[in-house]
Amino acid sequence: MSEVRLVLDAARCDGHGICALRCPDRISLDQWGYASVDPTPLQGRRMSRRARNVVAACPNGALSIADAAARGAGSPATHTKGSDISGGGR
Amino acid sequence: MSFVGLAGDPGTRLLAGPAADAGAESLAAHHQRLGRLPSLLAIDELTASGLTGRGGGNFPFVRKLQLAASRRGTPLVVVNASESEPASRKDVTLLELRPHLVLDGAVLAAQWLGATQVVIYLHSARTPSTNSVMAAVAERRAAGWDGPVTLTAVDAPQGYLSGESSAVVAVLEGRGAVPSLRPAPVAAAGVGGRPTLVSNTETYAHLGLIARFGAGWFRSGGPARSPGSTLVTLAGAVARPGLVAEAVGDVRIGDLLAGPGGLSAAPRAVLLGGYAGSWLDGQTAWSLPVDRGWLASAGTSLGCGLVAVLGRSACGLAETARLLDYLASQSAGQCGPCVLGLPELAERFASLVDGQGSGRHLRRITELAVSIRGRGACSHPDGAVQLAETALEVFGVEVRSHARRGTCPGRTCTASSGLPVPAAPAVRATAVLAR
Repeated sequence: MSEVRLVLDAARCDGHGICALRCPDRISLDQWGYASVDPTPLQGRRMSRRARNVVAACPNGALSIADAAARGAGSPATHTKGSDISGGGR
Repeated sequence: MSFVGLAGDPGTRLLAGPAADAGAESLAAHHQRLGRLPSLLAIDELTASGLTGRGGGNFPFVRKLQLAASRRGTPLVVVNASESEPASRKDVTLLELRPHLVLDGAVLAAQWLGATQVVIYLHSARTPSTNSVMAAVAERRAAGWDGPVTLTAVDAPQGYLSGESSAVVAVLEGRGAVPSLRPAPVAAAGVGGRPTLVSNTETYAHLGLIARFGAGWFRSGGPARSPGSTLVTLAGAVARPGLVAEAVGDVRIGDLLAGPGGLSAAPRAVLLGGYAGSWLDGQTAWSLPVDRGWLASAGTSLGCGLVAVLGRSACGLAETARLLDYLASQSAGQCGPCVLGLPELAERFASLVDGQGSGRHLRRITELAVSIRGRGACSHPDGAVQLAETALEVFGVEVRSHARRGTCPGRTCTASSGLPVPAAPAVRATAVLAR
């Protein structure tokens, strides 16, 4: 099985903060209260189960579990300007 | 041979042909000058060319094309001509003067993909380029030039982010020009789930030449690491702001500025790649190569091809504050760190100009940068942070002088560098609740 990680769609996050209460070792809240997700792969069955629970807990559906190489806030694809296939295009 | 050329100059590639004042090159003149377009794109030749995207992404074009080809559904080809960077002119200039070269490349890509629809995504308010495209489409239709491929122009909404590829897809799906986090690149799944090849205007124009003259010829027009010639827009404190030039061969940024721009000495600073680009010290920038790959590896980017000059009489802090204010206003309003972080970043820079340069104030800017970077559904907030951080690196003298005296040494700090900041409203998603 390939590695998976938590992915946050920042456009959907309204800062309810439930995720950070449920999974504080993976999700923190920034100075404004918005979620910030640890992008490293999820290790072990217990961590995967907690991640699934935290995905279900977000009232806005802003969290998901995806392949470790997937795009999303915190992924290399959105971090490195100039290497993303979607391009700059402005 | 390395040089900087303008429209009509011999030896240029994209801009070869009639001079700028001759207007759009007709289909007949284009055909006579370059010969007929090959009926099929040679994919090996395209791979060998090393063509990368010219909108800022610098992504290998052939890989995007192959990704679109590998997915189910009828592909759609989009010429991204929105060029929403306020000071950039290269794409509208190319469309205005050489519309058929751009359309040739787009039609070739469509034919290779088995697509029958090409969309030209542009700002119709820019009348010279829009008229040129509309006339070119009519000429091609009348001549039956493109077989089953139909060409349609679509108006791009105003706003800095309207050309971001996921925003382009949103517009073509009938929604607002708002970026979104997509599980796959739009080339794999874009408009209505169809593979959607969204590429920059200049990229397609290169494709139209590669198909005719081959990979070897194309590569000889640029540095080894970033094959092909490159269009740039010169802006700010240059002789002719908005002038579009083509760098052929091994060209330095100083060659661009000393050539058609007419600068004789290194300026105070250069803003490279767009408003969400990076400031470089003038002396440093002067000797850097116009080489997308090299610049990216050096932590900067040619971006949309904007090379904007800050003269010695202008204040980099005041300019940065003004540009940050604009970038903050152009947020799509979706992601909290962008909605709340960018206005504060802009305000903090305005305070620096007003003389608040304390260590605490500067630490807060650094802290904001860390809180904002990588936190958006698109790269808009990252771009604003890059502008702010490079400003602090390059304008350290100005920061200290403003903190002591409220101005730069020997300047009034009210003069503008001449970089346009439009009053155009941003397209907004449903507002994020401020807290």
